[in-house]
Amino acid sequence: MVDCPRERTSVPILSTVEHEPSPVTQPIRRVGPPTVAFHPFPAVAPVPAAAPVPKVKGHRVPRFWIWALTLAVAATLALAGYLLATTNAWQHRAAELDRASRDLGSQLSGARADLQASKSQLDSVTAQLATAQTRITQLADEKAQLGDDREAQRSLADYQARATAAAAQVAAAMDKCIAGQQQYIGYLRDGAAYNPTELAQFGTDVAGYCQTATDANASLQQELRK
Amino acid sequence: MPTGFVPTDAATSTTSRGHLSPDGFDAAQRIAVRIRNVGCNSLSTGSGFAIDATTLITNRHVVVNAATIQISTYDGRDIAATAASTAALADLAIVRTATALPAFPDLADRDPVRGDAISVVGYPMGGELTITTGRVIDETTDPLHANLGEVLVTDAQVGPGSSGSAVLDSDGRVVGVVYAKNAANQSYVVPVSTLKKLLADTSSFNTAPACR
Repeated sequence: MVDCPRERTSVPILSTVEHEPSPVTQPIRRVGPPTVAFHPFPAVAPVPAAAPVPKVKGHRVPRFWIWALTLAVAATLALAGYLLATTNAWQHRAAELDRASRDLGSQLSGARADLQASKSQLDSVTAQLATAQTRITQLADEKAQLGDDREAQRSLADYQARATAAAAQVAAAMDKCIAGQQQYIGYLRDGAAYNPTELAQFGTDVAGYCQTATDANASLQQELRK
Repeated sequence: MPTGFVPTDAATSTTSRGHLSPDGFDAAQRIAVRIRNVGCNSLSTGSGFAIDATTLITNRHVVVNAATIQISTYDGRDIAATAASTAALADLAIVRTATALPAFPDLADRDPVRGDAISVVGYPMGGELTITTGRVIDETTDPLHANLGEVLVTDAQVGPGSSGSAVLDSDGRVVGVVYAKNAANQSYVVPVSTLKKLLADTSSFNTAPACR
């Protein structure tokens, strides 16, 4: 009588375990007493009377092989379980890596878009800066030209003021000279009525006034030539 | 599950300082000044450049016979001049300022040689700040006899008002000072070696004569 196989543990349907075939497949035959082969050569020693042959008990598989088979099955199931768990873990990891890579890809795409936008903005700002620099240079030039005009006008105004002052001096001196001369002429017409010495002194004074006018005119001419 | 796919400390690239200023103007532009010589009965303009925070270099003939000297910078700021002194052996002058100048360059270690590329930054015709380029084409004795020693000849375009302009090499260092031009539109330059020699000798500059 053959022992029935042990109870199976439930395992996921990812791996199958080959079940041992039913032990009742091989033909049964009697096991008779051993016979001695006929040899024409010198006879062998007569076989003593055969001892009684012990009877074999039915169709038994040696116990060793049962244990070995059981262990093999158990090991196989354990290995299958381990492989299944490992596979699940790798699948999970792969899914996480996929999510991470997609996330990084999304970030990269966003960063590229930001970079492009920044480049465009930089180009725009660079152009604006160039425009501003050009305008600054123009404004600095305009200010410098205004300064030149201001100084030229100031110089001209100073010149005119000096010329005017010189001309005024000439005019004043001429007035004095003319007035003095007219008065001197009047005195000379009635020369007998005046002290000759005083009359001569007056003439000298008038000559002095006129010399002053002459000098003032020379200064004016010199100023005009500047 | 590792999460550090992106390093938190991203690698930063070293950026060069370049020659730009906070307002975006090139260093060559920032060193240049416009000089107005208000004489007793005259008005003239020239160019100059800073060599330190309160010192300008220009030509002697730009500042002589002035009643006042007025300075303006590349961006239109007015800088008051406190003193001017001229050199006897070269057409050079120093002007001191009351306030700090925007920028000043380095002086080159040697004079440029024939073929070297140069830039001239100044105010030709008393107009806008202008940068022109050219090359050194010759060395000669001064045809105006205003400078002792050799002067340089370049093909950079200059005009009246460019006197005192800085001549720069490709690294932005001063290699000379423009002081004249000829009928062939070639410019004459006092080399930096002459400038450095005179700057090293404090007795080589005297108070600039004023107009009367």
